[in-house]
Formats: sequence, structure tokens, C-alpha cells
Amino acid sequence: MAAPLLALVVSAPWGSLPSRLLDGSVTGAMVLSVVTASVSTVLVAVVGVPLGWVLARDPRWSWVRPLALVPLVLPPVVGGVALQLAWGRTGLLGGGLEALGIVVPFTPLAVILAQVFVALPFCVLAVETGVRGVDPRMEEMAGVYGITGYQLVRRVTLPLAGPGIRAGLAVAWARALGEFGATITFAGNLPGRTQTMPLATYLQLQTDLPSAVLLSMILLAMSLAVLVALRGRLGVTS
Amino acid sequence: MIRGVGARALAGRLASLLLAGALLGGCGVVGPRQVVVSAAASLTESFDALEEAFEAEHPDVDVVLNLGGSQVLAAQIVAGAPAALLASADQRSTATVVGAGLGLGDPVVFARNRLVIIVPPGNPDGIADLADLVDLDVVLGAPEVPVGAYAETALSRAGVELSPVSLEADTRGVVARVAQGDADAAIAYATDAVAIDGVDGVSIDDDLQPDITYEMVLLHEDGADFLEFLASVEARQILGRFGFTGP
Repeated sequence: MAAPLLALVVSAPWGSLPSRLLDGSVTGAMVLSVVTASVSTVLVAVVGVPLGWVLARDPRWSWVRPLALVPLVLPPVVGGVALQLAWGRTGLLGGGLEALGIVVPFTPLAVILAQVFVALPFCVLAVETGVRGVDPRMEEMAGVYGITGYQLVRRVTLPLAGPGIRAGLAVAWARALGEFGATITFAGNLPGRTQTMPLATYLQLQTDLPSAVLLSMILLAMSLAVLVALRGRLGVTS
Repeated sequence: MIRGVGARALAGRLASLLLAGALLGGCGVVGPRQVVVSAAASLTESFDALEEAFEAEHPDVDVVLNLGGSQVLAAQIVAGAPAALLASADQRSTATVVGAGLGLGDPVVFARNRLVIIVPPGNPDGIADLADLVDLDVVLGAPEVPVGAYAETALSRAGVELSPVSLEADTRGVVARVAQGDADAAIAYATDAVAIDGVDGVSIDDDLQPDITYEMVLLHEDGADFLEFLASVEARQILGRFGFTGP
């Protein structure tokens, strides 16, 4: 497991690192990746936290679970094809949007849609597990003090499930940052607009191996940063 | 998520698949001699047809096609991949292999390709030349891959500047955008317009065409017969059917 990562670090173009980092194409892809992954994570939280809570607490909604989790096991490229059939210019929903003057393909919005699609299940799973892990007696006790309904969820359940939710969102962010298959299939590849770091890495590989290695190194560092931030928390969710 | 009977049935199917694979693998040992030909992705359909024609004449040989981007194929060969012949979409990849001392003889040109403007069927925007692409949603190849570099050459010769909506990683990706209706036009190979359903090709003037040369180089004596076949009139005709022009 460690050998490929070690090889990456050993082959990194350390000597030309500063000049390559200042190169517009690398920073452009970095900014685009960080911004889109962060926006995607916010959207994932907005959809995924209520969904995870409902799945944990209301069995009537359990039929939604396979739908919400299928991107977890689906090859990302299939997700890209599905997104295209839905949001493409001639797609199921995209056709109507185009009539309104909204075009999704080849825009940062398409990148975000692809990222949300693949990252959402991580959040839903983490929230559901986190909420299930909350001791019902705590909620009963809160009920005794008159805290019920929305207040109960916001002030008792979610804070108690907090570590699990934060871990889920961090993993969702990392997954969004690394998204490749659905993005290149659905959003296309245009530097500064839809070319995220994984796409830039793949294309640099064709002509400029050192730049591809550098981009890979940056992605590795970001992923490690997420792991460090999660120290001890991943276990809490299981 | 898979439980009970479903899981057992799945396991049974997997086991029979594995068994079938093992049996097929066993057959390969006593079957015809395998000759691995590494060929550029843009040759996919034409080489399928060439393989069929060649094997009809040489029943003792089983041509196995390894298709991919030319530079990737060259890198595989330099790294020790067992190919008998490299058929590349450019001259750079054959030069890489020859430079590594792996070529038996010099590279030979066996076909040429042209660029065309890829449009939806019936050319709804009435595109006649590169200048007509300016205000449309156009997809090109990324400058890192051959089809993108060639398109850049043609566009600069025509003095046309485009702002493409996407720069795809390979020529088939470029064409797919038009076939799927997400782009108005694209620039790709003439052979793609022939191979892919749901698109038409608009020709680009000769004086704008870059030199798109397909070269082959022999890497192992096993590939000599196929190399000879590729230079034959029959092979030329097959390649012509798929939109390639003679060397």
C-alpha cells in the first residue's frame, strides 16, 4: 500500500517545485478544485444531514436509502453518463433548463453536480450512523425538560452525533476533491472552468510527467490533511 | 445488502465464470499462435476488420489487438510490454520505440488521416468552414493529445480563434460531445466521422490540414506477416473504407 505513495514522493520534481507551483494551470486547477469541492460539501450537508437523520429515525423512509447510497458502489463514469442523460443539453431535465437559458454541461455547476452525486452517500451514511449512535435516554431526558421537535434535533441529537457528521463531511469533501470519472464524462475539461486537479493530472500525464506527479503530490497532501483532521473520529462513526 | 438465496446464486455464477475463464485460458495454450499488435485508438474499427481479413488468410495466427493512445502504447512497449508490432497515429511514438532500440527495421508509413469538422446529422448550423465555428459551442481535443494539437495547427493556419467549451482527453470523447447533443461542433479525425453514428463530417481545406501520419514498426519477427499484410492492396482498401487515405 505504501509503495506507490512513496514512489510518488520520490519522483516528485522537488527542484522545479516553486516555478511549477506558480504556473497558472496548476494553481487554476487547485483553486477550481478547492472551491467546487467546498461548495459541493455545503450542498451535501444541506441534503445529506436531514436525509441521514430521517433514515435513522423514521423507518417509513428506508426505501430512500438504496437510492441515496447507490453512487457509493456505482463506477463514477456511469454516474457521469447518468448525469449527462439527466442534465445534458438534450437530457431529461437539461432540455427544459436550456429553454430557460440555463446550460449545465461544461460549467463549474456541472462539476459540482458530479461531486455532490458521488460524495452525498458518505455524508448520509455518517449522519445516519451518528444519529443511531445517540443514546435515546438523552433525548428522553431533554423531553422531560420540555425540549422537543426541531429544538430537540438541533440542540441535542445533532450535537451528540456531531463528531460522526463532521467526519462524514470531511470524507465527502475529500471524495469531491478527488472526483474524476463523473466529472470528465459529464462536465468536460476546460482549464479554469471544469478542469479540476484530477483531470489536470490525467492530461498532464500525456506530455509532462513531472507536472502530473506534482499535482498528484498536492492531492495526496490534501487527502492526508483530511485524515489528520479526522484523527480518532473515523472510529467514532463505526 | 445481498442476502440469502440471491447471494448463493451470485456466488454460483461467479464460480462458473471463473471455471469458464480457466477452461478458455487452457484452450489458448494449444490454439493458434498469438501475435500482439499495439494499435492507436483511432484504428479500433479498421484494425478489427484488418484482423478478421488477416486471420482468414493465416488460420495459424491469432492477432490480439492492444488499443490505446499512441504515446501510452509506446510507453508500455519501452517498459517491456510484449507487442510484436506497433501501429501508431503519429511519428513521435514510433520514434520513441526505435530510440529505445526496440525496433526491427525502420518505421513505415501505412496510412494518413485528415481533420474534419464534426457536426450533428444534417449540419443544422450550416457550417462550411472553420470560421463558421466562432460563435458556437465547440469541443476540441486537449492540446496535450494529438487530435487537439492537430486542431490547433489547422485553426492557426486558418487564422481562426475559438473559445471551446471543453478540451477532451481523446478524439472519441471529442466526437461523443456532438453525438450526445451537448456541443454544436467539434474538430476530430475524418475516420471518427465514419466510425461514429449520429454525426456528420464537414471537410477542411487541404492547405489547412496538418500532416497526420500513421506509422508502424516491427518489434518481433512474429509480427512480420501482419506488417506485410498492412502494406497490401487489400489492407489499403479496408483502411480506405474507414476513411483513411493511402501512405
